[in-house]
Amino acid sequence: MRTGKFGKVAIVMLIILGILFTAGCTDTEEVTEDTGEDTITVGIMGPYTGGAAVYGNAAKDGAMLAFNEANLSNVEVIVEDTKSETKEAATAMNKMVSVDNVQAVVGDLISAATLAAAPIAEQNQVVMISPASTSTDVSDAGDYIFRTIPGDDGQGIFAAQTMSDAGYTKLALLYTNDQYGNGLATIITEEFTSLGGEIVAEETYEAGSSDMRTQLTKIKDANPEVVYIVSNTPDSSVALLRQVTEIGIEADIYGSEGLKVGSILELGDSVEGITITSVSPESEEFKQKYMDEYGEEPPAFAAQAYDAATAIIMAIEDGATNGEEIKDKLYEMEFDGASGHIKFDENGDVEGGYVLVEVQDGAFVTLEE
Amino acid sequence: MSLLAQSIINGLITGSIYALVAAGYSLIYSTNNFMHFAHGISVVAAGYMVYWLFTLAGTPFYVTCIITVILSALFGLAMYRLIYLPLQRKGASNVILLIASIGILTFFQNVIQIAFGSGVKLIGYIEVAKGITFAGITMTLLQIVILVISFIIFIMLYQFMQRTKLGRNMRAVSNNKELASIVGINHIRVSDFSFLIGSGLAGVAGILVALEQNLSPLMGTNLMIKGFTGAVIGGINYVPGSIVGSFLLGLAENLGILVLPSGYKDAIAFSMLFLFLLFKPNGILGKKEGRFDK
Amino acid sequence: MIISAYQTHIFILIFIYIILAVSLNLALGYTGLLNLGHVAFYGIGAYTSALLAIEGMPYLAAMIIAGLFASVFGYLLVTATDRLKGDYLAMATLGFSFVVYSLLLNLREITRGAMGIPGIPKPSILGLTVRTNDQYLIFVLLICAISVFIMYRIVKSPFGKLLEANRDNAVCLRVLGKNTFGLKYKAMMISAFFAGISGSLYAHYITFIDPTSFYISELILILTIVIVGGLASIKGSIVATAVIIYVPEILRTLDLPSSVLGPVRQALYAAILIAILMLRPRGIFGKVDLE
Repeated sequence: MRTGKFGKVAIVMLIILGILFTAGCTDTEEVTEDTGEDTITVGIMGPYTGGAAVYGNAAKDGAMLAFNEANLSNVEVIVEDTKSETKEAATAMNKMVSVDNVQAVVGDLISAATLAAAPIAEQNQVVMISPASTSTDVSDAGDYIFRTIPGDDGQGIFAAQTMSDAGYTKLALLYTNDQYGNGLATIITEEFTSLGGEIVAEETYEAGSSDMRTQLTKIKDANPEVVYIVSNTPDSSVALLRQVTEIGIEADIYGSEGLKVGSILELGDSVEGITITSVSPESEEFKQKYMDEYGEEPPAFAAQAYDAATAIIMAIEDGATNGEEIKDKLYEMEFDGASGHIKFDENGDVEGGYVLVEVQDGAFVTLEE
Repeated sequence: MSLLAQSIINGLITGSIYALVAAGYSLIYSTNNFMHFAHGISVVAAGYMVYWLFTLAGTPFYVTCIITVILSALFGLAMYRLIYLPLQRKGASNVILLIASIGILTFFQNVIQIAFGSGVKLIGYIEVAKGITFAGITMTLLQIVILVISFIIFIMLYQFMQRTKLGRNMRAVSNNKELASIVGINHIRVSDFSFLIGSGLAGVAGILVALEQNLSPLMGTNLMIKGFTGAVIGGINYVPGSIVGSFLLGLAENLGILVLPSGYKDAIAFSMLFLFLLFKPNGILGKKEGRFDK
Repeated sequence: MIISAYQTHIFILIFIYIILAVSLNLALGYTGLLNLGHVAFYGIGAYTSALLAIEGMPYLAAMIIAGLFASVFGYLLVTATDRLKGDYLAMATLGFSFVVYSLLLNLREITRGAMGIPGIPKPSILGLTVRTNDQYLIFVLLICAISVFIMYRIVKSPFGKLLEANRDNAVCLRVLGKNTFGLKYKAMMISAFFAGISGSLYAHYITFIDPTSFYISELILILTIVIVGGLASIKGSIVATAVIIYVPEILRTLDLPSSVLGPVRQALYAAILIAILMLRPRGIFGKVDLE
């Protein structure tokens, strides 16, 4: 049974190694504090694996772009994956706070993950700026919790008003059965009915699923004038839009910003004319920079992440050295970012405007007001 | 009326995808008696193989299909020979093999993400267009092809299990491993073939899923759960049963949400799984000789 | 404190998972019930405790009720699956996990569905509130020690021996004149009770829960811990919890390009898992095999 012994020894070693590794990091933290070096560590966290990985990577790229541009000698950036899971978000936040001694974090994207990590950031006086969490609960998550994207209520009201203004009265909703989908759908329903419209169908699907035919059949049967889609997993978005065409839904298609991912454009003619309600578009300047760097159009949330990073950079350039000072500076600052005008209110939320983006000739085109 | 008819068709389309996954899965299960969850990744890997060979490298489509099926079969065999069999030889129980299969699934999911990125990939062999409408029912040509192929597989597997010597050996091993080895059936050889054929079927499933839906690294888990559910409903020990079960599952999901809110789609599927196990644990067509309360 | 906040966090998670893993081992290893529904008990416990505490119930009461409520589901699950064994039991209980997940997601009036429950209060016992993580660590350690001690006594008791005998040869036990009828029920209820307790500990630690916290990835994690640790070995489950939770944390220290860091870590984790299985095909301290 020599392999047996060896196995046990190896496993005990592994645990000791684990304790040492995580403990070893404490020392470095103390060293930085002792020498009083003014290196400020900033974290980026988000889902780089799991269902929301596409958005996570886009946000990471956007934020990295800002940090690389600013190239501050006293700022160090670290990245943590939260696997699209709440527990991982809490772990990542804890790790960054106590091991890397971060003062500010760009992330998380998923509202659930942001809400799980927020109490830890709040307690340790670390600033957290989410580029994508739109749940209304995030507003009340704490003083240190900011976001560069307006909450669901903003987009929901905008979408309902836009569709109502365009003369539609019969709306069908199709949304992911998650925080984002439910949050947005509730607000659209309220607003659209108060504007005199009618919700003729309301269907949901599981995040990541790729078969919505019967939901779409029910929608088709309800005969709406317009369908509003809330999707935040690209595989579902692509499957769904394909099935809209195949089932032959004649109604006009609107969608939330989650639909703004490059892969839907590959569906060709069938996505022509889809209208997306998107938070104010990225500036041309940012678009160009992003394309130069990564060779593709910035996906949803890249510009918001860029702005979140920019806000932190500005605070640091302004002399902030720790989370508390960064927080104070954030409440005071105001600037025109890649995603529009950024000014945080007392909840750490931004106003943000919305625009309509339409798919024209295989590209996302922002419609002029 | 057309709502009901269309939903039945939707159920059949969904069911055929589940059936393609379930067929290979239950073939492997019936001879090996452990849950090979990594079967899901065989399907996904095949899909990405098509994307790589056809969409990126420009290999002719039919050549791509043949290569994909062959490589999938070998991939399955490799999993058996390199991971499962060594574990079995060291006396690992079926639950250990289950954990190992989850490990394999996770590993390749991430390898695929490293190689191809986390984004959605489209094959682009068939233009997306409105399906053919006939008597109020809409479906695309590809969906008809998928339905036909899954029926053909159903019949071929049935014939194979009943008529050929290898098929009979497989059934013998699935019924009683010891007895089978007493009469001189080499169960490792039988397992080899079940992994080859089962994973080859995963290859076929992967090609069709890639064409019908789209590719993302995580799709394997979802496919596996539903394929597995379908297989259990139909009788996990009996391949034709698992195909029937998958169709039934597809129909139940799609007809169920005509009545219930669509959020309950998965709940319907899983309640069915649960209820079938309680009242008909061997599935609709499953054999009595299952390992149920011996 | 001598340990960093990060380590405190990891230790808290480890202690919560130890309760979870040991209680699963009670059903899986000692009783021989291939139960994949454990994560559902965990979720039921977390939701019950969170909702009760938000309604203003004192923490300890909420935690105990969470355990008892999970235990009721344990009873129901055994009643329903009484005739099933082996893989069929595994599949049925897996189905149970899925059904509970779907219900958590869709019973919006009670669970807030996918929106999750934010702002779960930190535990407060006899007027003392557990505020910092260091305090929480001590609290969790205490509960963990008590739970594991109780479960240890159970498996070493005549009742525990009866469970093992029943697992290995039920017919023989009946021939000897032992009453085997209630064994499965009692074991499953105890197991579910502690799963509920650990769910409560988790909910009040993270202070935010949503249905995805109690789904497949979580189920795989706890099952992996028990299997890797070895069936019918409390020691094994404890060691394996530390191993399985530490491995991904060690991998965090690898310096990887940020573009592939997520998937590379997970692939390595999977590879290490398979390697451990290859090295110890019956689990680290495994003694028994399940049919």
